[in-house]
Amino acid sequence: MIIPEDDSPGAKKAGVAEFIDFMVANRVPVSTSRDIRSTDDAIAAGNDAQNRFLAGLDWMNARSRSEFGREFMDCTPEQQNTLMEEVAYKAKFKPTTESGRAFFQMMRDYTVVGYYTTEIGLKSIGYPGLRVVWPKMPGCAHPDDPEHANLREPASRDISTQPSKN
Amino acid sequence: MDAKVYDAIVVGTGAGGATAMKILCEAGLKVCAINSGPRTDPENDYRNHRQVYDLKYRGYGDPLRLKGKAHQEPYSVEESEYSEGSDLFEHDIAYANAPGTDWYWKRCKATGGKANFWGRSSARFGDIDFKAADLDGVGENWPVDYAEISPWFSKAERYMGVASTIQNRPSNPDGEYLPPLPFRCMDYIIQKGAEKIGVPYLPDRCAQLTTDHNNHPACHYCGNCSRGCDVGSFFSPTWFTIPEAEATKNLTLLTHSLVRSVLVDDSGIAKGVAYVDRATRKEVEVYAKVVVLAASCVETAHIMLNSKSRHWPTGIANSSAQLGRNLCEHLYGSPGYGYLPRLLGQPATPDNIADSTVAWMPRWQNLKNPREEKFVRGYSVYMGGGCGEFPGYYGQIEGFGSGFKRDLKRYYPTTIGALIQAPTLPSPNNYVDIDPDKNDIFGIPQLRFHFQWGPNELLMWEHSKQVMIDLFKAMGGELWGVDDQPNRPGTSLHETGVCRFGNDPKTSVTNKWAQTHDVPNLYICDASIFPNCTDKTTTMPIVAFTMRTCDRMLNNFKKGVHKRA
Repeated sequence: MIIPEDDSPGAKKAGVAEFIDFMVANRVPVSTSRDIRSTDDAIAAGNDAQNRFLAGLDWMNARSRSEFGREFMDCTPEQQNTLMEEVAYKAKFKPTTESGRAFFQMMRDYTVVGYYTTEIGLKSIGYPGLRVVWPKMPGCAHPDDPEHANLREPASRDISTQPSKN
Repeated sequence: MDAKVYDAIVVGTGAGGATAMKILCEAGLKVCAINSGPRTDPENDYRNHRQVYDLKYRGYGDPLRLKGKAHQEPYSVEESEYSEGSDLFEHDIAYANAPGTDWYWKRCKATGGKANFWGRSSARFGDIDFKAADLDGVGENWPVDYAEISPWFSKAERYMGVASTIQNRPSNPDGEYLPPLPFRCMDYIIQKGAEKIGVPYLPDRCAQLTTDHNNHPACHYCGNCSRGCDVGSFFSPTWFTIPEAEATKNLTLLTHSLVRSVLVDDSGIAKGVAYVDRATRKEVEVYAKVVVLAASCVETAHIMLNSKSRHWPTGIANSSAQLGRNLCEHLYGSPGYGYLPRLLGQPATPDNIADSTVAWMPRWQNLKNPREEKFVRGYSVYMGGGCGEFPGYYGQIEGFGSGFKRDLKRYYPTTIGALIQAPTLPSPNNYVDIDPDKNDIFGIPQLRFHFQWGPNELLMWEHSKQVMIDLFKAMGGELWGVDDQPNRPGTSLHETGVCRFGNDPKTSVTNKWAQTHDVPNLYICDASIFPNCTDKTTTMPIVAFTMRTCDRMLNNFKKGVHKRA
């Protein structure tokens, strides 16, 4: 749901669920406020991430049961969307969802990292480094408009996905 | 044991050491180079076009990889999952920080050192740097001036290959350049904005081969530079100086050999070095007529402080008591980051395929009058951004779903961030010494850091934050934020000063040729001789000063000051 399939494949196809399983099981945090100075720090941060992740899943299910009488995964897409929105958008925050917001951010961190470190994800955003030999660095294509004041934003469908893998 | 005597021993094979051994070997000297760690093997140790999804932990690395090591702190940027499994970085030897000091000492012990992975910014120092003390009355002048050093900068640039343009900036003497890297969309926008607030924004001096150069191929723009170049399209000892030194057959290169001290004879003159063979943990001695230390600034001071003898009770060549003092460093940190709304939704552009500081804001403060600002001297700013390897800005965008995904793509070409490079002034509080209580796993007394940011560099930091507010306004950008505080000291890797050179043996460790005042056959070829740092980086100047020092040393061999073995 965080990164769905649209004009490019979504998180599911990119194997993000498996990635999150792997990272959480191996206690690798992708975002941490901790200062990692030693292996003990790394282990503590990894344990902390794992605990917060599992507690967050429980929270989400508890919230889902109280709102809709069933586990999150058993909810309809609309219900899931409602549950997500109240932890994802400031305008929809409720005082009772504070721990859910932290969990959502963590889930989103894992998802974004899991997606944009795959070939699918990098292609979807047009990462130029998928091509590893360039005859030269092209530079700016608008030399007659150095301030770039007159660029038109292309419709999102028209955004050409940049170079193919070499 | 090998009782052979070499003409010269060179300790360290980074930017300085490998340049020294190449020059000395090419002049016919028999050289023994001693390197603390393994030989760098580009095929196995560099990124080599692997993508992040080829890595098991997608770049985050095995959290347990440093378990059991004496120094378990991972090194950002230089060390990564791409080099995991190789033993390139120093984690077996710990160091100490004095109370209140938080120095981050990142050490690459493989041949070539940090110059395997360096940032390639290569500006010349000028008289504004060498004679800064005359201008503002702070600290000491350098014992050299621009007229004297300029030809050596030219030699270094011709050898390394540096891409830039002629700019006529008062703080940045021009050099001999390959064609520059082209400006990207963001560079033009930033330049226009900078113009409006009176700040220069110009091509950096970048040691990246924009054309074939001295038998090294032009860059192929894979963007993997900071994980090592697979073909040698920028200067690194691994691709340049080490193979050239080896081709002479005059080089003996010892690896996994950790130098502990310089040995002296009955008259207190250097006669060789003692090193620990890391495999056997045995101490070995090697002898030579001349010893060159290039162990990477503070490690050079570490070795010298540990070289105590009847003649040198506080460390070799330390009659001035300046050894280890005057530790300087660049204050790094982002004084502002955000995005350029006018690039929203534009197609992805190959902004970072050179992985390079394409352009920067060379020092513009205190040029007309050295006391124009609240601080003395000046700083530079690098700007980066554009389409990178990860949408690190995602935290700025709220929500989830198709809209979120679309926004990540809309913002992809727009993000920019500044990096300040502010020199610290020498301070009596900033130095290294030997920890009286701690030895490393080989029984060698550990190095201890004492370092705090001083008021001058913190004023620069505050100044740069205001400049970013003005710049973002002037170029129609939106600021997202600013670093709460500067990066930890040590982050920039540009430490200088601990063996400063000077004309007065009472106040400096070496003379203007980087030859120690006290021990004429002991030379230093790294940034430890620079009495302070400037707003520019150190690698190209290390190469230039090393070339000059070696020229002097070879003359001394010719004149009989040093005898061949």
